[in-house]
Amino acid sequence: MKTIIKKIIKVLSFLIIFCVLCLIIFKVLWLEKTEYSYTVYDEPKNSSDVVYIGSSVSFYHFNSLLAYNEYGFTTTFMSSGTQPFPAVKYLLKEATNYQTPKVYIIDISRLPKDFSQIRVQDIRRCTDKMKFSQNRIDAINKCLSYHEEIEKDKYIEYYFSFLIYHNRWKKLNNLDFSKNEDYYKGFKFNKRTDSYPHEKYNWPEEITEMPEEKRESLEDLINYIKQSNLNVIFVIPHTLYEESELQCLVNASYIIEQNGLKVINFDKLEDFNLDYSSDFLDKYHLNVDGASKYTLYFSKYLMNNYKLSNHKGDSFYESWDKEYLKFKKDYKKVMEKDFEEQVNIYKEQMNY
Amino acid sequence: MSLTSLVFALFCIITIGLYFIVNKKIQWVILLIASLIFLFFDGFNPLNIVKFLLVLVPTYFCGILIEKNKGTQRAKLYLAIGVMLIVGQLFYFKYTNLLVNTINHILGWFKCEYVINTVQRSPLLGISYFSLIMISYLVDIYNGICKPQKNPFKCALFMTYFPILTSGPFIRYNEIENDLYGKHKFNFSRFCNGLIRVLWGLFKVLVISARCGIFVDTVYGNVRMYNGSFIIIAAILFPIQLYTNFSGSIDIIMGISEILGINLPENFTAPFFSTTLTEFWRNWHITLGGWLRDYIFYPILKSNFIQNLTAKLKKKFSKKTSKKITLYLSMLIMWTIIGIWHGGNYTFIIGSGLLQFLFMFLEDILGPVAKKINKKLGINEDTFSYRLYQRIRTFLLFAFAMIFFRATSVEDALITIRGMFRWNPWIFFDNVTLYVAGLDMQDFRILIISIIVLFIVDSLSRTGSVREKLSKQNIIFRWTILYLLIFGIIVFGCYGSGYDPVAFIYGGF
Repeated sequence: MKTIIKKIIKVLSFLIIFCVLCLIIFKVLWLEKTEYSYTVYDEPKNSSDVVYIGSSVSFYHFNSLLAYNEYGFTTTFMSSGTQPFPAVKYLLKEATNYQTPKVYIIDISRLPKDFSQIRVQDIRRCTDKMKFSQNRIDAINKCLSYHEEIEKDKYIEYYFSFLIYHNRWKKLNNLDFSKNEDYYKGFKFNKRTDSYPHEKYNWPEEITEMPEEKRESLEDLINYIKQSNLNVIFVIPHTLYEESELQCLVNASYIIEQNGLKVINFDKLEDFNLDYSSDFLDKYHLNVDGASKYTLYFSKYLMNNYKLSNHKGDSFYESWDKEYLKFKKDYKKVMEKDFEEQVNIYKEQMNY
Repeated sequence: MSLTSLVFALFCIITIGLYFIVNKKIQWVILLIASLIFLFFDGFNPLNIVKFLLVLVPTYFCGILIEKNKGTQRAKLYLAIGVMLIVGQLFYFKYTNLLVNTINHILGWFKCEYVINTVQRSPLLGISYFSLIMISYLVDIYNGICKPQKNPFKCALFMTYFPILTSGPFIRYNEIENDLYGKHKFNFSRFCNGLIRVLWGLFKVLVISARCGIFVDTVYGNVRMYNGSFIIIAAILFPIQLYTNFSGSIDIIMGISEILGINLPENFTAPFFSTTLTEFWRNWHITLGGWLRDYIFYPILKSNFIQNLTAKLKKKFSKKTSKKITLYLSMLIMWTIIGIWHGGNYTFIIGSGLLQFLFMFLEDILGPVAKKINKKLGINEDTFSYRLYQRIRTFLLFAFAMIFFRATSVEDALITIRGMFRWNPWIFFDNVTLYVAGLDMQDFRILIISIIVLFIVDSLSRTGSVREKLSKQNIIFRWTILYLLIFGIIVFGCYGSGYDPVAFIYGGF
């Protein structure tokens, strides 16, 4: 009997150590942290006032800490780089299981992209961080349904992600071993400056016929929003669009508005003084200063239109205050200027 | 079903679980069901059942009839029928094209324009293995070494025992009968030992073999572009790829069988530590060597033709020389058969048959001369450095023969050999060129470290079981080694979308 107990203890100990090591190694080797922001899962259940769903522009453009500091509302993300639009409905569904925000923001910048050109890594970045559920399976299948090139026998890799990520050992850097160093409640802080290739786009005035798969995907999402009675704002962010994509976005805006939902085209707005020569980190994303301008404008709009709660001073939201202080400190270190002073300058420029 | 796939792992877990849960009397039934699922899993085709019965039915009945008519001419007749049917279907499915190509070549010599078309056949998984296993079964019954299996389902299990279907080893009925149909209790230490062996096999296949394969496939896939040092590295890596792939899959098979309580014969004993090619082949694919020795080589030596030839030669040469000549002739026949068994292609016949024979023949002829020269030059053969030289020489001879084995045609093999002599050593120093053939610097580092680990383990295995040695160490050391092995496979293994699926080289034979 003693030997059996001894053996059981040994096996259990071996397995426990194995599981701990697995967790550590899997976490280190997981998807690069710069490629996604899924803070919907990280924050306490039903604690979020705004949920932002979209591609990388969402977590590069919207500084959730600045919005919190200004108005006290909390924003969480369900965003990943080059997020496939067909997955948005499932991400929205997923978000409703964890948060009950007053408003959801959905970035539609990926809608004009060719669905059949959705890459494996786009689907992986979007679905790998989702919790295992039927909804995740549906999201994967939906994205794969447009994609003829993905071999069907590789479906298994979407459910056992380590089959892919173990190979990332060659690309490991100090960030992979750090513990939430760049967390900032989902916002990605980037100081790089690159010139933006466009000033303003010439947005078409006419409404034309939308490609069927895009219209169906958008209508499917709108139907879900209406059935679930959710408050949603669709946004067309500042990013690089091809001429042909502008028409698609105009058509989409029309369909959205026809269904009684709100859509904001930020490229058409003049109100927040974006400097095209210094506020972008590359041709797709705003840098930290551009993000401040965008956030100031958008958070004010949200506050005014959705009566969001101010949680400042509430001990339950203490982590937001701490994270903001950390961000402010890091900003000063990296940018060599004071964040709040900088924000005040932007406010003056914007007649805030 | 690949031995390194998740599906196979799941399949084994279910099989092992059921095997130890069910009544011990029907454990063999679980194995039979699992084996049939394994056999027919890949692209189920009802025709495969016919192919399967085509071997099972004649073997089963011939076995019983041989036993019934023991000591009579009829037993010989039934043996001949059984063997011919097995060889016939093996030839039909695997070697028709070799015959067609040979005839086309001969027709070509006579400038005949008529060309026979090659045919596409899809042989049953493991056909080369179970065909030879069933031949040995019939011959052993004939020789009185074993009794025939009266239960056709048990006979089917012997033929299709799933772990050995892809890569062997060759089993003999009398050696495995008790284990295969016996009752087995779950044994914890056997389970752990089996699992360690499976892990070691996975390490060899996924970390070493698959990584070597990336480089080797790139170079051999375009021998007109890669030359010089690239070919030399590929030629050195291919035997390592072959060894780790083959012995690794054997380790997985042996480990699973060990868990089930079925002991299989060893197939490799550190072949790269052999000092001669003869010794090498005693340590490489041991069960195939044993099978060929017992069922081909000795029967040839004892055949009337060889006996008569020896007698005739004795009149012209000395007794020793005439015996040597017939021995070499028998060896030549056996090595040709080994080459043919590996596949219906001249590259296999040359690489794994004729060249191996030629090198062994030269070793035998020149060995005494070399000994004399060494003695005169005062070279001490009983030193580490001399043994190291012999090992490197053996490895290089084997590696050279394997150029033919790996090449897609004899012409490609010759181009590869020619390309080897192009001078481009700078690929090792310019920090770029070496890494264009599929493996980057990190991959090379992992590969070199893994090969060193492989050689250390193989070296340790020469003086006893490595697992036994490990079990005598302290728990911290033991567990550290195991975790390193497990996470070495998980992290550095070449699997998933980043890599091509791990193909089992010997699965094709």
